[in-house]
Amino acid sequence: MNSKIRNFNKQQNQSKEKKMNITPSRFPFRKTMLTALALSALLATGTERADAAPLNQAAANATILNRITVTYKDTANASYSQTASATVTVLLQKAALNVTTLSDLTVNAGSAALYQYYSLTSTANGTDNYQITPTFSAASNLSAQTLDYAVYRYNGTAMAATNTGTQITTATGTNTLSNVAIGSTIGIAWDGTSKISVPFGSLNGITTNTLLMINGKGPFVVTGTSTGTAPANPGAETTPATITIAAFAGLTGVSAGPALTTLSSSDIVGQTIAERVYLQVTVNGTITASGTGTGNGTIIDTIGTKDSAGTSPSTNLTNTTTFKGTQLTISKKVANCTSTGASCGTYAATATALPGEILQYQVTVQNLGAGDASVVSIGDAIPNYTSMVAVGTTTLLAADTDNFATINANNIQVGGTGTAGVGYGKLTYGANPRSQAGNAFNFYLGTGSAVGTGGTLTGGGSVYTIIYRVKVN
Amino acid sequence: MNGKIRNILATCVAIAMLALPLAAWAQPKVSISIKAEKEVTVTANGKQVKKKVTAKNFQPGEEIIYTVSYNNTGNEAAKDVKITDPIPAGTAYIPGSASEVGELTFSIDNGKNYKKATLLTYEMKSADGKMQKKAATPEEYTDISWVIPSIAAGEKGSVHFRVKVK
Repeated sequence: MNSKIRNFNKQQNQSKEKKMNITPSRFPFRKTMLTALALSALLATGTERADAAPLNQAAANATILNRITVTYKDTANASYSQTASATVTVLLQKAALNVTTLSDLTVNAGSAALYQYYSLTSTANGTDNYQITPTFSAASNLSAQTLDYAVYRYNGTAMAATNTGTQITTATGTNTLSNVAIGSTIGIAWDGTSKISVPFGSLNGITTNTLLMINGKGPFVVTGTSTGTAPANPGAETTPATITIAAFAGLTGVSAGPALTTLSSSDIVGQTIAERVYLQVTVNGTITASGTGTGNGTIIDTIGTKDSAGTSPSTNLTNTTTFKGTQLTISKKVANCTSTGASCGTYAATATALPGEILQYQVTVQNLGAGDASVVSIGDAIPNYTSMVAVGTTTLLAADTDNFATINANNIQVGGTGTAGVGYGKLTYGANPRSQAGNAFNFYLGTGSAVGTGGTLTGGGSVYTIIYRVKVN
Repeated sequence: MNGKIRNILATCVAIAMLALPLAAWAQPKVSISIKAEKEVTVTANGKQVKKKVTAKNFQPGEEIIYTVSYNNTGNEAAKDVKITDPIPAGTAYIPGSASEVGELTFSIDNGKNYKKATLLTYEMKSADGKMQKKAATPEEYTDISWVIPSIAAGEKGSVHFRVKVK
């Protein structure tokens, strides 16, 4: 064993000792016993640690070399020595993936896709091939659902799909993507800045651009690797492989990683250096019917994973994807403002009026859904047996600059005007007098509206109130 | 020179040649070998029996049983025989597993100094209520050493110890 390896061995022991500080509280009687026996502090760390040691402190494919030396003398005190060695190889310890949700992005109504992002991180001590099985379950108020999924890895500039699953097209479909290789190894030393040493032969699928989670910290990006040196002859020592890492700057949908200074030897030595890949799930669907409840459409999907031994995480992640629906309501009420038009009664669904009296109409438009409604416009006409009068007056419309209505208290002229972000309107009278019954008028509501173009009513109950008045003939 | 004298000379040369290797044999020759084994449970005659088998591959958490065999094939006793073995990287010595042969000592400083083991044994009640024997010893051991004062010519033996793959 060369001195380098020995040092690693020592560090491993040190790191282990750190972990075992919890032992006295777990086994208080043992501490008492040791104290009573007045044993050294060194011995106080001695428990059946070999039993308690966590698994996965040796990387798969690492070679454990045991070289033994015998020295002896003959009767004349001449010295002789001989060596022998045995090597064994550490096997893959399969373990379930660690699957976490990174973010759940949502987009607005319609059939636009929704994306889910997951991270898949190895907890094994070497490369394993995993299965990913997304499953659609119950869907509501949604049709034409599809689910696409793919494993993404960093390629140095972007996340690139490296394994693509088959599209799921039924509301209760399942597919499996097999043989998704995810690497992992175990660290044996940290140079304090950017270089991790791992046993010779144990790079285990980690290459430049691999994103790594190190003792739960990360992701870090691999900027280079070296394979180390093979034994010169059977029984000789190897030099370890190395992995050089840098902080990961992050990408759209994938957060940046921490700085390298957050790592210390205790994060590396004897700890899992695990590849992390990303799973993007794309859900498409069309809302079946708007106007019921929130108008939302939902679908539930579950992300199942298995290692090559068939082991899954204790719980598979289940996500509800919500397509935001719209629920537009419109109500029209009327109040009698008498022949003077000075004060109006209460708005109601119906009103009675005598000839010459003024009726004031109130049209209310509201989007009660969670999603945005776009291109919102309203068509109306001057009621039969009435003539339209200017806003707040008893005077028949006579000019294009007369105000025939208000939207949220903003005046709208006959010739077409409005207020940005609120709404626009216009009265169409052709060859008729402007105030004549049957003349059509239109309103264009919301953000981005203009005369002739409907705008957007954002979800969550935004209210638009239109008021106009007529005189009974 | 007649044929007789030639024969005598030839015989002398032959004797001298024989004598040379004979002189070389007058010394101890200790050879050692090491093997790695694991303990597996096999069912024989309806009973579960633990058996040691030579193995090349180990899972993390498994125990490697190292057996070091020595054999003095020389024609003279070997004195002050010292077998030294660093605990391999990536493994931890299992307390109390080394054979008590000769003088068994351990190093915590990569073989600079060897000392007798400080071994604490005690019993604790296990989950099934039975008393269980436990051994505790510092795990910082880096090297094991056995010193056997003398191995006679033709004498064989072995020592073993166990480690756990981390």
